[in-house]
Amino acid sequence: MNQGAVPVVIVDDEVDHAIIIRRVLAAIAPYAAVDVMTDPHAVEDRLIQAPPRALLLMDRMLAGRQSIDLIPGLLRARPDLSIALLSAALSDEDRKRALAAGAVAAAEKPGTLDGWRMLLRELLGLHRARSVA
Amino acid sequence: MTASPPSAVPKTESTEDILDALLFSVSHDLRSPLLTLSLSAELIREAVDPPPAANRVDQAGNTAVALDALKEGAADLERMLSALTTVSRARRREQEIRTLPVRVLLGGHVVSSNVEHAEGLTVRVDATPVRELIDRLCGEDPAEIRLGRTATHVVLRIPSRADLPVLDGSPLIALARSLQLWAGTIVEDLASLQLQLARQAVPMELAEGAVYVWLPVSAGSSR
Repeated sequence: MNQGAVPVVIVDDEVDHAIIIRRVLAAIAPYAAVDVMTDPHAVEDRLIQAPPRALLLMDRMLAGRQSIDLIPGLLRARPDLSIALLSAALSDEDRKRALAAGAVAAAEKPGTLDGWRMLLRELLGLHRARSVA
Repeated sequence: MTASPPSAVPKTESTEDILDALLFSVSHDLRSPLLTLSLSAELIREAVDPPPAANRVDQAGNTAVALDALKEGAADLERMLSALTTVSRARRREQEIRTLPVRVLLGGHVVSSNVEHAEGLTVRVDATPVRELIDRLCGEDPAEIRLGRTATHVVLRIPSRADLPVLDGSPLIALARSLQLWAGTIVEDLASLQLQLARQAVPMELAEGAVYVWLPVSAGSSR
């Protein structure tokens, strides 16, 4: 399995969530090169500068606004990115909207560390499969 | 130089819209700090009883991170629950709606208007939330309040000492849409006052760094 540095960008204005996700990622994927973005302002402009073929773990609410709406524009500018939308609460309709907008996955944030390990492994696997396709 | 108050009475958001927004933000925004609390507790648990090496989160600094997150998660939860309590109290607060002259309602403040005998007009309102609104926006010093008039209302333009945020909708719908963003800010205070005024059929709107309030003119008021 190719375990070269996988660029991952965590985009979450819940700073505690971002820190915890980064720590779990460091444990399960020490090969990942992780950036953290907790300032939600002008996030689209900054994400366009994300590393090539990065996996974006993006919170669904950024500064009180739905980030689902950012996905199509971001992917038009950077089709190489993989975007996974994460949310404290996500309805089936929102999941469908996120996938229709181009997200590779949309999931509720797990309430346990094991849940995060499972979800992050799954997302890294999806990203890897997409990168080699 | 103060802008003239707008003449049209603003439309208010429906109760259905506010309820819909509030249900979403309660289910989403309150779950967020709860996740922080439960994940932090687990990090501390794992520091005490580490899992197999493959899953082990680097223990160095783990407990400190978790303790900080516990504190912040609890504070965040408290901030949002406090906003809900404020709004709930605003809905239940007893009102004393009276007919009173505008000059009495705005006593102590500087009033400017192009409307003839504007201060002699009488309005029908509970004065408390109007005065609290002026205090919240202008502090304890006299404020310069601009008066306008429509066929049915006296319009107050109350300037704000602090910068007001640009909102998509009224303070109440903004707070309902995002407790996370607005709880504990001036928007929470304005939402509470908006609700108290709305119960008296007194619309309120933010525009151009000021708050506009439409007070119903009482029957028989001088023109």
